Amino acid sequence: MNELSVAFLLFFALFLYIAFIEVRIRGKPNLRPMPALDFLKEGLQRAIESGRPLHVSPGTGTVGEKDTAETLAGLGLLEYAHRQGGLYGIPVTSTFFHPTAMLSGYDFKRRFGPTGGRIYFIAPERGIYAAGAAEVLKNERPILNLALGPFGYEFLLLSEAAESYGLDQVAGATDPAVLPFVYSSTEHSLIGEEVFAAKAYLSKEPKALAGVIAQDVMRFILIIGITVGVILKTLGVI
Amino acid sequence: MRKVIPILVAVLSGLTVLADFFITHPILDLVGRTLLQWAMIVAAFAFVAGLLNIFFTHTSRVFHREKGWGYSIVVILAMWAVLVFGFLEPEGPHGYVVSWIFRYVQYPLQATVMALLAFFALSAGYRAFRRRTLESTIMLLTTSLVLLGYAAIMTDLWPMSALKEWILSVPAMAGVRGILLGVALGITATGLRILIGMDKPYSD
Amino acid sequence: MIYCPNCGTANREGSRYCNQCGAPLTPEEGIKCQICGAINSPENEKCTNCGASLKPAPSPEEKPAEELPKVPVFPEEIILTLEEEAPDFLADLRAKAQEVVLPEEERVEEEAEEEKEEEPIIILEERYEEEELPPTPAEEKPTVTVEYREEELPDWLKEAKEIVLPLEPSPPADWLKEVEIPWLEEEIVEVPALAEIPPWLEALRPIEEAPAAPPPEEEAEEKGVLQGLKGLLKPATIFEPPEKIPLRREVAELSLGSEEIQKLVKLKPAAPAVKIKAPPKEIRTHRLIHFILFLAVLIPMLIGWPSMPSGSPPTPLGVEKFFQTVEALPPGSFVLVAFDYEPYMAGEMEAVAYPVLAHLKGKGCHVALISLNPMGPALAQALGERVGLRYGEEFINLGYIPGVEAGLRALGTSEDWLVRYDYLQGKPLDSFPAFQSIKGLKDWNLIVLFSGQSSTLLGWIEQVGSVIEVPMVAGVISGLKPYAEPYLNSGQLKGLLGGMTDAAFYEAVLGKPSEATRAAPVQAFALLIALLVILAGSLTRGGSHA
Repeated sequence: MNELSVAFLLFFALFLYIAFIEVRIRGKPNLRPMPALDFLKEGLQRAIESGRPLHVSPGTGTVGEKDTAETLAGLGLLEYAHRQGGLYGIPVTSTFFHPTAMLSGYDFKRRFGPTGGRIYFIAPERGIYAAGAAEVLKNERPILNLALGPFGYEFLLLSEAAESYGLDQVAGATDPAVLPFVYSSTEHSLIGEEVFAAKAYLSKEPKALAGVIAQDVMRFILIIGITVGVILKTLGVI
Repeated sequence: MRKVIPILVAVLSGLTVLADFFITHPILDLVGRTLLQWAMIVAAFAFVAGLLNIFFTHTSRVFHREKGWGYSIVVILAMWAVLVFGFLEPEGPHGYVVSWIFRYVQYPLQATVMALLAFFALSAGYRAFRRRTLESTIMLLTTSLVLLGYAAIMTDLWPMSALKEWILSVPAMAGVRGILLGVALGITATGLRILIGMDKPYSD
Repeated sequence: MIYCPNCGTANREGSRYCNQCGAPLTPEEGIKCQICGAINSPENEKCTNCGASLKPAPSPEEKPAEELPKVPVFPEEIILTLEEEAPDFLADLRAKAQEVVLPEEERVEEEAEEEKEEEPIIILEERYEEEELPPTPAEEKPTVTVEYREEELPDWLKEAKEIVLPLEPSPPADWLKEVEIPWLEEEIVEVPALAEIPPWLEALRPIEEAPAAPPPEEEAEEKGVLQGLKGLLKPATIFEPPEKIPLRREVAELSLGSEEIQKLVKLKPAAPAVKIKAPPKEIRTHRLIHFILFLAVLIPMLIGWPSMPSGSPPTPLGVEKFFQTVEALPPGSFVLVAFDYEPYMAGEMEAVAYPVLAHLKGKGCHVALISLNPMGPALAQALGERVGLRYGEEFINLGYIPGVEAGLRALGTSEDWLVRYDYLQGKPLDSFPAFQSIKGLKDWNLIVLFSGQSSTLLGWIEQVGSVIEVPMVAGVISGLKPYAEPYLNSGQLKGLLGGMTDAAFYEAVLGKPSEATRAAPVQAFALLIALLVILAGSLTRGGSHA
């Protein structure tokens, strides 16, 4: 089983590199539309017009543990927000669950310039984080609440607080237990792997687009493999 | 050179821990375990940065009399109280005062805050199921059957309980597996991008 | 000041000589300038001080006629005197060249005069500017004067006299008087008499207002920079409230003669047939929903209904397996219990963990509490004390393992037992006699996982369960049960408790009803009420998805 896993990883890495070269040569691929991210861009325009800040939450995860990849996806959105904020003067307020993710927030602030928004480290406890982030929403009154990353049930508290303050939201989570809450409480949501595609959609970076392409190809391979395996198992071959 | 060294360190460290997962070798195990311990120590020191952020952010809010500055005073005082007693007591964070604060302040507050989830889940569901879409209708139907299955404990409607178990085990699990596969692929792609040096979540 | 006529330097009054050049300032003979009074030498034509002409200006009577540009005369060498015999054609040409083109009337008169006068008359041609129109007879004609110097004029021209054109238009000829010029006669237009204005229109005649009183004379400013000025704006007072403008005007009754218009003015709007009710206040729907759910939980808790059914309901498979696994442990077994949930999930998880710990206590097992969560040890300690376990003999607290995945990997792959000290007192594990035989992970008889997150549950199963042969059972929150059941089906988990409902079944099987037995039916009832609320909301009109 380990040998199969190693082979899978090697093939994935190879295809990732090939996809990166393809994107560099042929340009950006056609991506299916994602209404949530289109709404996010509209929200940026409204933020420019109104001068109100954005609130970005990269999830209740850490950098260095099991949910690192989802946290990095949320940090990718935060990087995009800071980039736009530095260009157009949009204040970006961000709340963090873990200090390892908070350090990335300071890094973005240093790279793209201070936007006028604050960086809040709330607490490494999910319930406390949700309550603290809700309080930040109440005080800062952002024009858009962006919550993307590894969330637990505390997401509901944060999103309902934003809803009660009349804020627009774009949210995304990867935990299937939380996805029903994401879908029901926000109108613009990103489900599962769409969280990882957000950075590619927004920044159009070749490396991010290569990741999206590689994921799609590997998914097709897995679907074919599962289908063949089910058929063979049903027929009693394996 | 300034850009190459961080990428090189990240790639080598990641590949070493990954190899340690697949290959059993004493030296590789030692190196992998050491790298993981270093990562834990660095993450622990990141909490110091978090502490400083809390202190300076809330102090600034108090000085500038921003909205909700009274709560910032409470945060600062609570932080200092736990810090001071945690250092002063011989048992440290397991001492009497800190344990008392946790057991009779933090734990009830947290439990209460999350108890509100039930109310928020209901209002979110109420709002979602009023939408006239196919997805909302399917979600409403499934939710009704599962809730009836949970409520069957106090009645003799045991078939509803069996139906609930079937819904949770078969169709819901199928959807969950599909989402988990996609998420796993996304996690793998993100991790591999960092391992091969294509992407770096850190700055130069 | 006296200005020197020589160099122009200004000298003081009374000076006789110039300070600059020494020239006498008062020449003995000189022309006094009429403008500034400076004495200029007789040779100067213009005053050295002010530049005015020193020649006296001629009086209006003596003002000569306007000097016209001289007529180009023939050069002397070609002028032929009348005494010499000139050919006739040349004399005619000379005369014609010097003729003036006059209007017809004058030409006629002129010809008449020419016939009378014997001496030739030289008439200068008038020159008109290009832009000027030919003068009308009424316009004043300038006097044309010819002046020549004696030595230039030929003899026959010397005797020429001034010709003065008539300034006033000559009266029209007799034959012209008889011509009728219609446009010169005044037209008499009959103005029709004023029509009769109907009385209703007469009534609408605007009332002549009294002439407005002249504005009061403005007083001049008495002080300040603008002293003496009139017509200045008054400084506006910033905080003075504006004048109140009456919202209604009293409309004066019109003195109308028409009854119809009177009716129109006095008409009032008809009273509506149906009374329009005011719209009801917007109900705070979500507050009502929350209140309903609160009552659905509070009332059953207070009255003790509903309760678990008295009959023996079928026990879920996971609960049954869990019970059997714990029941199969021999007395004195070592059980590692992981508390991987955070305080905000303690409400449900403690209801799941309590009967299990009570069961382990009843079996006489040695329980070690461990956690991947910094808050876990405190929660475990509190629950262990609540169950009644004796610290150091029946249970110890091993504290917090950092790193989650990394910590579990280290725990699962190491040969020795990594956690050497207890959480409360910091004593080494060897100091506890009940736990001295623990040397590695394989020395444990059972691992019980109480997990609120899928990450910790999967971490234990993948990182630890895959490398050791120690059986594992799990108690999770109800939302995590679907994710844990595949591991139950595959055999990686030997038992599964999913939420408060399964905990209630466990207590029923154990025969020790506790929190879960009381709370599970209330939870079920609240879920039923929530379902009714959701169904009621879905039946009402809602918005469409964005």
